[in-house]
Amino acid sequence: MTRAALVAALALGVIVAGLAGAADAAKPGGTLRMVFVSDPPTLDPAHASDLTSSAVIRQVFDALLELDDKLVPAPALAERWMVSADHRTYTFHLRRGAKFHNGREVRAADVKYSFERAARGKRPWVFEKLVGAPEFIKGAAAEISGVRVIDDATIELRLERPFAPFLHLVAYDAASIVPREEVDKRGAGFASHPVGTGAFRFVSWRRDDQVVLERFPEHFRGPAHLERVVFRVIPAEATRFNEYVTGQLDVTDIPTGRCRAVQADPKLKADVAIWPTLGTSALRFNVERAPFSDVRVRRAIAHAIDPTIIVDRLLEGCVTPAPGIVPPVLAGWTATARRVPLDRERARSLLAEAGFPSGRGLGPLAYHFNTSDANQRIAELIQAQLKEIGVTLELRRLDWAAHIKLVDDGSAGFFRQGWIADYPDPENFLTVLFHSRNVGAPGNTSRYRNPAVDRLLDEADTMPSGAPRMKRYQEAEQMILDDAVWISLYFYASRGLIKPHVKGLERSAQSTAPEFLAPLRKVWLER
Amino acid sequence: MPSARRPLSHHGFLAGAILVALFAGAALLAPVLAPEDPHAVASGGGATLEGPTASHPLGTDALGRDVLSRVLWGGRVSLAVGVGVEALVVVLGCVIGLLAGYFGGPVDAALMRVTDVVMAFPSLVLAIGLIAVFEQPGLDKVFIVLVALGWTTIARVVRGEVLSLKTRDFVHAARALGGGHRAIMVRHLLPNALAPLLVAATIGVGGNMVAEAGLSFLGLGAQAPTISWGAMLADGQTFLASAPWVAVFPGAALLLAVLGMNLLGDGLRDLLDPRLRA
Amino acid sequence: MVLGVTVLVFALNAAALGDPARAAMGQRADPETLERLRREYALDRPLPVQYATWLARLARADLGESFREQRPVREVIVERLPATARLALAATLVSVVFGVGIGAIAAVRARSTLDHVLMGLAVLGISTPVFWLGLMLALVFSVTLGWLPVSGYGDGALRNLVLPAVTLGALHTGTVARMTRSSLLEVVRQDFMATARAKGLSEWTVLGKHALRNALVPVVTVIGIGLADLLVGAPLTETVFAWPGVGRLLVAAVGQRDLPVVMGAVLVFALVYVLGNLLVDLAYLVIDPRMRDAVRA
Repeated sequence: MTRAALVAALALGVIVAGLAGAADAAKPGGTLRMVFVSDPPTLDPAHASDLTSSAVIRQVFDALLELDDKLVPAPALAERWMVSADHRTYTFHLRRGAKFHNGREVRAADVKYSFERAARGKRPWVFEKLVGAPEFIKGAAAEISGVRVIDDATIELRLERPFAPFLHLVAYDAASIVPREEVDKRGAGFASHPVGTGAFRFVSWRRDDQVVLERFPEHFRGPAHLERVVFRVIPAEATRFNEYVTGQLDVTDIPTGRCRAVQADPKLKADVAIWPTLGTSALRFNVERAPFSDVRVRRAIAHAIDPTIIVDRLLEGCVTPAPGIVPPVLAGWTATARRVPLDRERARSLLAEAGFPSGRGLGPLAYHFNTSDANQRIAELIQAQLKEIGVTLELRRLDWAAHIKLVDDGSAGFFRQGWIADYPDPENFLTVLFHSRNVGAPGNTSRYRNPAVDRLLDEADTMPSGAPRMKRYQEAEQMILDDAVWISLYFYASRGLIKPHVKGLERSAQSTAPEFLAPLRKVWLER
Repeated sequence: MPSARRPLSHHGFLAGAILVALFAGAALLAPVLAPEDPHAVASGGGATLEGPTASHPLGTDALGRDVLSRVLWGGRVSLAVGVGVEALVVVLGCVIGLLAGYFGGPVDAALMRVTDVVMAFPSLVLAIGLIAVFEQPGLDKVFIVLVALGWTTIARVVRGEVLSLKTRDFVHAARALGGGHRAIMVRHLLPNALAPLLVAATIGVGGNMVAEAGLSFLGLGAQAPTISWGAMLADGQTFLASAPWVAVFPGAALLLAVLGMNLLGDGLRDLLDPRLRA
Repeated sequence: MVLGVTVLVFALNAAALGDPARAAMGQRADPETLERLRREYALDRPLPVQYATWLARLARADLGESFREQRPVREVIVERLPATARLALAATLVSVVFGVGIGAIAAVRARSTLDHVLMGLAVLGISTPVFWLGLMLALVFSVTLGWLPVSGYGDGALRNLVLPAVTLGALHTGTVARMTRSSLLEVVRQDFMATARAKGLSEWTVLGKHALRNALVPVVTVIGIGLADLLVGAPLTETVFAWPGVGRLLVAAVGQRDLPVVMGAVLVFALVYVLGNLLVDLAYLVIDPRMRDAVRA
């Protein structure tokens, strides 16, 4: 046998083995044991506003569409859809025979009911682009006029203006379809006993302990592989890790400060699953507050901060330093942005120009962050880095509720903020976080008002997807970074441990942690 | 056990005194003894989470700071909080406990209701409330929280003792001889309640130091750049398995200092006990 | 007194930074929704009115509705109460049995090496952070030896209870042991003990029959105080062992500014505390008849 033939044979062998693997793959049965850090506040898609709740809701409910592993919208309850030439009207054709867990078939009227119900819930922004939605949300209209039932199997959605990422909104878990009769029957209790169309149906929920789901045999795609899914609630990361090591959990997170250790551990390194996700950690300034209203002061601070040390020392290289705002893992996005570079000399001269030579006259500046061990260390590191240019930081560590209050109402001048994409589109980063219309709690906590940036964002938001749209976002991103209203630190990554017998758990950029968002109907256990 | 009356022959007292003196000395001399600037963050090639070496005898933390220097500096805060808070707590607790126990009736009822309210008050809620009122956590708030919550134990112990003591003959005698309320309380009741008071107070000093660590845990304690054992412990906990020295050394310092205080307190009780002296 | 606690809690919560409506939202919030939530939560009314409403509902045994879970607070608390009660009682049992035992042995062998070792252990117990002790116990007995579950409530099985109870109890065992020892020594020096000893009774009999009874007064006080401590101090233990109790609920509710749950949980703690104190007072009467007059006065 020649060398080439050997290689070919080996390659063929691998392919055959792979095919065989695929053929006898997906063994049915078994229980997947996942874990949450905290109890989901609710299992009702209309009232959820957090990732934990969404993680369960995704399994119990379906929306018209879902995102595939590349985050491209794909059919779910709708089997196909049409978009009008002006990109404002979407017509969805529902799959026939899809059933709720109570046995009833899904109809177009359920879609209208579910959307209107959720529009008055915790995430109205998912629906606000629809014609008539703002009036309905405010209570000034009896229905969302832009949601029209054509017949039992067809629904039409009309937008006020074109919005390229609209299909992502339709695939969002807030847009899950719920059966009206069950909501009416259970009232507020629907949140504790959800009924949807999902591949798994609700079994039980002991608060602060565990949520149990089981396979729904009549799911429109056919029954899932797994028999049951258990989400345990374990707040202490060391405890989660111990449960994983003793084999009581199939999936968990990597404890803080152990990212390198688990990759070196012979027993664990095969289980390590790290992949980049759609989120950015940053420092922000409130540009309305002195001295941060002066771009020279902001740039001086940006010049003095070195994110690579934070990434390397504190996050053990398990995330990547962020030069820009939008993570490069976003499909269709080319990262072009350049952050203000590390340059202490430049920082000192900018401070002097602004009237604070060597930080004199600046006084201690307050830096706000929400309580966590990692945030504490990052704060201390930034404190030390700024000390080098003569800027004294006073650390203000508050719990999340107090922190977000001061950030939202503009009391905090310099603070930590992370952003996790609701849907994979630059609009969700740049427009939400920096458009002057979103000042404050809606997202622009920098209180940044730049007409040039606003104009670019407005244009891009209503353009069809493609390079010209992206170019506008890239331009806006660079302007924002140059104005130093936001100092990017690092892009988030999902850092987890997954037992080798767990197969088919998708690692999409949207799953900020292994327990979130991945469709569990695709998961099976190799035993 | 007559030997127990002489301080130097009381082993517990001696050990406690040595430990406490050691820690007090280290805290006072921290600026001289610390080999490095405790705030110096490793830059460039500096090592983070490095185990004990010749240049860093107790290793370095996640930011590459020298743990030994931080333990020395941190002792100042922890000891100051432990002793300072307890001094205030003892004064407040004694006054309230004496008044309640001695006068009984409505005075007792009223004071004990207040005590109950404070004791039943979840410290966590108070901690959050105080963040709200002051906005900026810090050592001064630690003092306020610990004193506000700490006096009740002393008050209850003193009151319990007084309730039991005041029915005894020597108090009746003192009263019959025309002793004033204050004289009876200060001269007869307080000294007799001293032993349990001392035990409670020494437990208290250690307790305060541990409580300071707890508050740091909540983010209410000393804020960086101020160093405290509590904050170091909270920080090192993350690395308990991978870099144990970050938590173990401040933890051991805390433990030994608390142990020292307790041994000292026990010894003091043996030495001061009026009935032993009599 | 219970009402006093609730007024204080309410005032602190009202003064505390952070808006319950905002805390109920995710990373972003829009002004209209926030306003609507505030209306739903009745946060737009003046504070005295809010408190009066809460009291009026309380009179009808209604604790209101949780902001976070959107269901009655009574349900939210009641389903977690059994877990908390089991843990607190088991921890008290641990601390009383070991505390009084260790304290008594140390007192009998006062100033011996054994005494020093035991008291050293007691100090260790008091000064060991609960979080750390819990993790170490779990590492030894669950991860390494595999005898007990790492965490969780299970089906309420005893084996799930052991580690949390020992962890929570350890904190108090030290205090009870020290108090027992010092009270015993105190009593031993008193005259009636000399009389008892003069009667030729053995040291253990003297201690058991006469001294222990008299020494129990401060010990009972400490245990009574401890019960409240155990209840309120449980959050850390509940966190380490993923125990679904009221302590963790209270921490989460404070974090979420879920005011009705905070008020409800504090009310329950206050009631338990009052009950515990009542028991302590009753115990005084049983243990030390001389105190009847004092307590009655």
